Amino acid sequence: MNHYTDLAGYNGIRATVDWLFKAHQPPGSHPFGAYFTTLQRGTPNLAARLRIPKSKLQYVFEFTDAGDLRPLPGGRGQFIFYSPADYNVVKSRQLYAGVT
Amino acid sequence: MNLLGSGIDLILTTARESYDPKNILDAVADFWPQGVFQDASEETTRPLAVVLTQEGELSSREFFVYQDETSAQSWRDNGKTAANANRMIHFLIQDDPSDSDRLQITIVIDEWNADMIRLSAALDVRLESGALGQPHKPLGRLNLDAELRAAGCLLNREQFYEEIERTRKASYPEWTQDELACHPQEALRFCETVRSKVQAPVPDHLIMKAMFNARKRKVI
Repeated sequence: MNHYTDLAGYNGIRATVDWLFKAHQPPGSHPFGAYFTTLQRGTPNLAARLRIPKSKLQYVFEFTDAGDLRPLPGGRGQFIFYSPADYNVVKSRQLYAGVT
Repeated sequence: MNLLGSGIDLILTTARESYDPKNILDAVADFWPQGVFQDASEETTRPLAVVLTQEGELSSREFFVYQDETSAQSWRDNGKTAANANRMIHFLIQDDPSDSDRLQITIVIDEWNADMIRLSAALDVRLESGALGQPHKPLGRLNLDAELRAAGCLLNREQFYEEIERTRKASYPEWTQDELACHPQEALRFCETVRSKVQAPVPDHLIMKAMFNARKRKVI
């Protein structure tokens, strides 16, 4: 599972041993939550598929999926998942954090 | 704030048997005549008009339609920006989990505005989904370029729209398209005038449909 962000987000999340992804209200119609994707670095048209600025793809946190995230309703639920509350990833699940 | 969950996902369903992705593209082309198509897994783009006139089935299950090449370039270079928001529509087609005879079509936009409401309504009609009301009667796909060629008209869709608008404004400057359509005798006379201008026996229904499509394009 992946979480893409910019430098400010990257520094905030990596500041603690466990990664804490804060839930928020995204623009549009989706529920309050912390959002993630299964799409990997280098996926063609990644920004368009996630509908985000490229500046938000500068850094990534990668971790093993625990099967506890909810898919977005509809087709994008194939690759976008969310937690309805802040989401904590302990060190043993962490795979990579850094530039994309 | 992370923006990963942004966008609005409109979920429609349509009969698997009659599904044709070109039906979607044709509806979008009425609003975005300079539209650009891109399969989600490819880097290259193609004008909608080219995709619509190509022979054979379109097998894409996930694709983007950009308003024009400038919008496609902007998304390619920057991803989403304030300027290019709502200038790209993301389509995802998958099996309908609740009905094996139907497909689920997800249409992703940035925000609801008048243009997106009209466009989504047009897509709803084309897909016969009934998501925005009662199920619709089937509508045949109107590939205007092909229909014009079949009628012996040398103009393409864009040129035909322009000729229709030019003729309507010259002949009925005080009337809207609706008012002209409400005067059948005049509407028939208008169709005759258009046929003489384009020098081809284009059927009445194509002329009238193009007249309304031309109006839809102007508001987008």
